[in-house]
Amino acid sequence: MRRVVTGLLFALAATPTIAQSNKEPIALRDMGSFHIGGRIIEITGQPVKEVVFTPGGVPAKVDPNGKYQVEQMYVQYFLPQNKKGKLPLLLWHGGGLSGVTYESKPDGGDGWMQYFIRKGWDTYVSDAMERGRSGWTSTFKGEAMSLPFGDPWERFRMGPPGSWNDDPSKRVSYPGMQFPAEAYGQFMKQGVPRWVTTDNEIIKAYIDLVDKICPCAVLVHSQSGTFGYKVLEARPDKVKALVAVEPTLGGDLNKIASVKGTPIVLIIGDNAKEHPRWKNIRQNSVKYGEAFKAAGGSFDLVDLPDVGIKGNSHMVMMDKNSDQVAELIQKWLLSKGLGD
Amino acid sequence: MNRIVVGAAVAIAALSVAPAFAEDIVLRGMGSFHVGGRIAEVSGKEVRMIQRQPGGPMTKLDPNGQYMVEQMYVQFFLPKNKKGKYPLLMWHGGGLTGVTYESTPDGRDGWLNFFVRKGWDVYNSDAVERGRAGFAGSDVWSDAPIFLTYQDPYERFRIGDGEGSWNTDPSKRKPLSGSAFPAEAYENYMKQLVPRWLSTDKAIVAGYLALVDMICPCVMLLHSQGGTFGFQVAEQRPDKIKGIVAVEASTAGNIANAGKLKDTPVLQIFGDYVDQHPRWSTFKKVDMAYGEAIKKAGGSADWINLPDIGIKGNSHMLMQDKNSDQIAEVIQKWLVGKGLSD
Repeated sequence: MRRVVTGLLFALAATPTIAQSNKEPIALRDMGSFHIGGRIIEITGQPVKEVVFTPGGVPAKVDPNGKYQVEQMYVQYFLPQNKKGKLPLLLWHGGGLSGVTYESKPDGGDGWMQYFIRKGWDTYVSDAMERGRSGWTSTFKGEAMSLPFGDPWERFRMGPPGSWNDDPSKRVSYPGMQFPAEAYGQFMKQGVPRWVTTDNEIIKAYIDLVDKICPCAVLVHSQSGTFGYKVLEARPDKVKALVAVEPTLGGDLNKIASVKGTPIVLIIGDNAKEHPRWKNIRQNSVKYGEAFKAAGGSFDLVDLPDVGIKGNSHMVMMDKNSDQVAELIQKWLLSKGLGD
Repeated sequence: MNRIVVGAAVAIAALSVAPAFAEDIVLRGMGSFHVGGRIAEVSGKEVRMIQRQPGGPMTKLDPNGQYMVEQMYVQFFLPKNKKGKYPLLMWHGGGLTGVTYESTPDGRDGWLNFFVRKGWDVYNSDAVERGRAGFAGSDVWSDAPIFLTYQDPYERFRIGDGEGSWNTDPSKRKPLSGSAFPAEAYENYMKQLVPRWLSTDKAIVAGYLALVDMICPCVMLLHSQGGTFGFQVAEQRPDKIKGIVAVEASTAGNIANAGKLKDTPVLQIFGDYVDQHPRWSTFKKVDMAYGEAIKKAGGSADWINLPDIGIKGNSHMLMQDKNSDQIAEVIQKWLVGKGLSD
């Protein structure tokens, strides 16, 4: 791939790179994808339109009335030849994003998807209902929201409050920040619009996935932390472990008794304890963890800086030290007897 | 996979993760990236009140500011035993994504796995606005996208026997006689659809050009609307496109520019029931004329009507039909014949 990388550097500073992989090959016994869940709805009373799909093409009549497939979810899977995980590993992304979160990092390095496949996990990476390859329809309530270009910089703890500047040379990062600041634009290309009215449909599709694939281990991030806990509460016998990476919410304190058989690890990056937004989010999760432990469950809290892993943003899996954090997760999964 | 297959068979008859009896896929690398795009500035829009949760309070949304828009998503698989002399770029059709080339709706291996196993470095993309490419908000793209009804592709993509062949009740649908499309998996196919805009062709082509400038010289595999984009891009970068396989392109490029492809071998493929379908017979004529123009300019343009070589029953979604591997073999042989793969 060297040729590609070189050509690129001349082209556009913002163009992505495909990192030369010096790692071992990935041998798969299979890979593929499917959509799951969803339902068919009916629209009536709308006018028929004539549509030219391609300029100069043949017009076609499109009658918007009729039935539509809606609310399905996309899942891509990779099944390593040398399988070592005892259960499938499901990777669920955060808000305004898709399964791309776990693929190559914005700086071109291998992401957690490649990491866990190499470790021998049957890995299922999904795009939540409405996001990415799941598709969407105009039947959702409200409007799709796109994040402004600068928004995640401070909210995802790449820089401290007040550090964003449209001019990259004037942006300020946290000292020792692991997020690859030069690839911020590349990260923003991964964003997809999100609705704020679709949680129930998203959770429903995740439950359909769990019913198909699990028992399994589920790794959640940010918004999908909420979904992960809700699905665990709905299917405690099928979710055998929950890795919660900076979840934006904890689970339901009133439902701990029925889910305490599932071990949970909570992972929080750097600069969270003092951050105006993240300190509260962290505190809620910590409180949930304490109640979980008090009820006799296994709940491990890992504040990364406290174990010597410093500088992590909210996008832990894209940070330069992402492998180091993945290693920690891998060790935890093994310690719970979930892999060889 | 046995456990999963059994569980799935009980749960949902229509969806299976097929066990692979084919050889393992060994990759020296795999991953993804986004390419192209621009930063759009939204200004002068009114701050509006929106409801962020059903039943929740109305809160302010200020849509003004910068947005990253019109980037394209690309996923790549690089086989260890590389045999293709160039990367193979797979471009999907309208209202769809790169999922087109992944597992078929009935759970078999698709063309992505086929060509990776044949030793091609495969780059499978989602066009600008589709799937994992994301889409711009209504403050940047002012028109609304279109959505296909559940029945629309059944008649338009030559699965059913013309107008009136659709019925809500699957047992009353009238497929074309001998159809190779897995009718029992029609629902899974419809789950692959994504909305499409009709105003974004330029942005889509710009995204594809950015990809070609990054990855090529290369070979293109195009389907349907991806055909139009592929030929347009090839006309602008003829030195970078070393071969084109256009599967039911709707339509080919600008016939005045066809001569630019005189050094690029082109294969065009059409499925079954085309001449009896008013829409597809028209596309076919336009595509044939483009091929003839390439040949007239001294180029190489091959044409395969699949029924003429004994491959019957193909819908517009050839790569998902039950005989998809057989068609992939035809393509692979052509690529090898043109010296593009060992």
